[in-house]
Amino acid sequence: MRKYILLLVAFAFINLHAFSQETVRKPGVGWFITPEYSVMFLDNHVGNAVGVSFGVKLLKDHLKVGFYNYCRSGPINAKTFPTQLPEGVRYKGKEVIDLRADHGAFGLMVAPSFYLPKTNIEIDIPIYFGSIGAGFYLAGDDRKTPDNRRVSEWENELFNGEDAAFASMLEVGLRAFIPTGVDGLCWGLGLHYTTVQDWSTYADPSGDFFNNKFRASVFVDLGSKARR
Amino acid sequence: MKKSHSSPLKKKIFFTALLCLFLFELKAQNMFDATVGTSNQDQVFVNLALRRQFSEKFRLGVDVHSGLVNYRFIGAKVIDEGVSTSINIPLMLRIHQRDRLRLDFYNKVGLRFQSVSSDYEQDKDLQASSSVGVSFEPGLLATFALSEKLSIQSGVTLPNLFEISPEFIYENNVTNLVANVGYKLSDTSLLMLKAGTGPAAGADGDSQKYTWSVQVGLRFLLGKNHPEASLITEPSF
Repeated sequence: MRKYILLLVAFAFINLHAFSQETVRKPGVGWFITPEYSVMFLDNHVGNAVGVSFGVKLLKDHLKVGFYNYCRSGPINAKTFPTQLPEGVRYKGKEVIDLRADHGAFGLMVAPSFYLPKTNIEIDIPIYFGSIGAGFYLAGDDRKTPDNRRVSEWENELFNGEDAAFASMLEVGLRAFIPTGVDGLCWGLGLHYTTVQDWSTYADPSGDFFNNKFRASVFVDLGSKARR
Repeated sequence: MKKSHSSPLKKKIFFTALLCLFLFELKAQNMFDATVGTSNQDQVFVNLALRRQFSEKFRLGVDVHSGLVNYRFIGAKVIDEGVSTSINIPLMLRIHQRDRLRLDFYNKVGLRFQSVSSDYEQDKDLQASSSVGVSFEPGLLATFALSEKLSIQSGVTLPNLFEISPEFIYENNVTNLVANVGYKLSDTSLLMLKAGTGPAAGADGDSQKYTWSVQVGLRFLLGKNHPEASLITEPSF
């Protein structure tokens, strides 16, 4: 629900500013949409994530303000995590089951930016303030429950309601935007460092799964450019 | 017996609305889109759309999307056969344009119907053999006209699906990343390639966790009033 409200606010924000740009011609206000793919350097494996950020550019493109959302979805990450069930609990006769991990990060983004001297390469420093919703889930044939009840009912019972959790996150990054020759279209690379506070689930009680981790992103950037 | 009278004000409003419609009609351009594709949700689907470009800024349409089910849900339980059909009203509103780059606000509202056989319903212990859902999908789309014939489009849409029968469930919230290409084959036709992918969540984790779709199709232009805008494709999730 929090994600949904944030998304609507972000859409309203960018629409309002983009409209005002066209009708009022306020100088120095632009916009951007940046779809991205990233790899997350997690404990003992590398996770795949896709996401997007979008918003407005202020101060002649020297400050970006917007919304971000990226997710390490289970279906694009085959890695499973063997998990011991509570003592005396079995699922389809098994005491240890292989779970997949699912993750979504979302929130507000602020990114100061500048151009490298004597080049057209833009550098920005994206700072993400937001939340993650992440957890572990029954995968493959284990999603066919023995009594045809919903999978989430079984997950709640097996893991005492601690199959997933929300937590706050903070991420700082450094990205380089490389021009393509088409005005308003760039591609680029980024490196990000993520911290997650007080996230804990049954399968990862330590809460370190996403905490204090690096990720590397590659992206396409579409947006207006201030005349330089 | 009460006799109804139309006031002069009502008449003025009526004729003004009629005049507006007439002017729209003069300026509007119709487009008929037909695409076929596949996705993680449907083994194969067709999408038929009639869109009207009222001005360079604004487009409104209606589309019908129907597919053979691959991986969908009734009552948050998986179905892997049956039929899914949705009827949608998509709109696009230009909010910025400079040179060949343009930004549009996109939104689509729709009604979805799904059904399976009664044997399948009993076998899977479903709540019903059919379901009805509603959806809305706001988005932002950036389109580059690389030439008079070729356009590329990217951006993000946020499909939100709610099952309302047999049970109310917030079925899915998707972050759908879009990559579309439009190539003008002639003055009256356009080749379209569309792809969408992104993470999803909903129904307490029981429904889609990730979605993707690819499709190819043609657009037929009926009129020549807005040739530039007709190059702009639309996602059809």
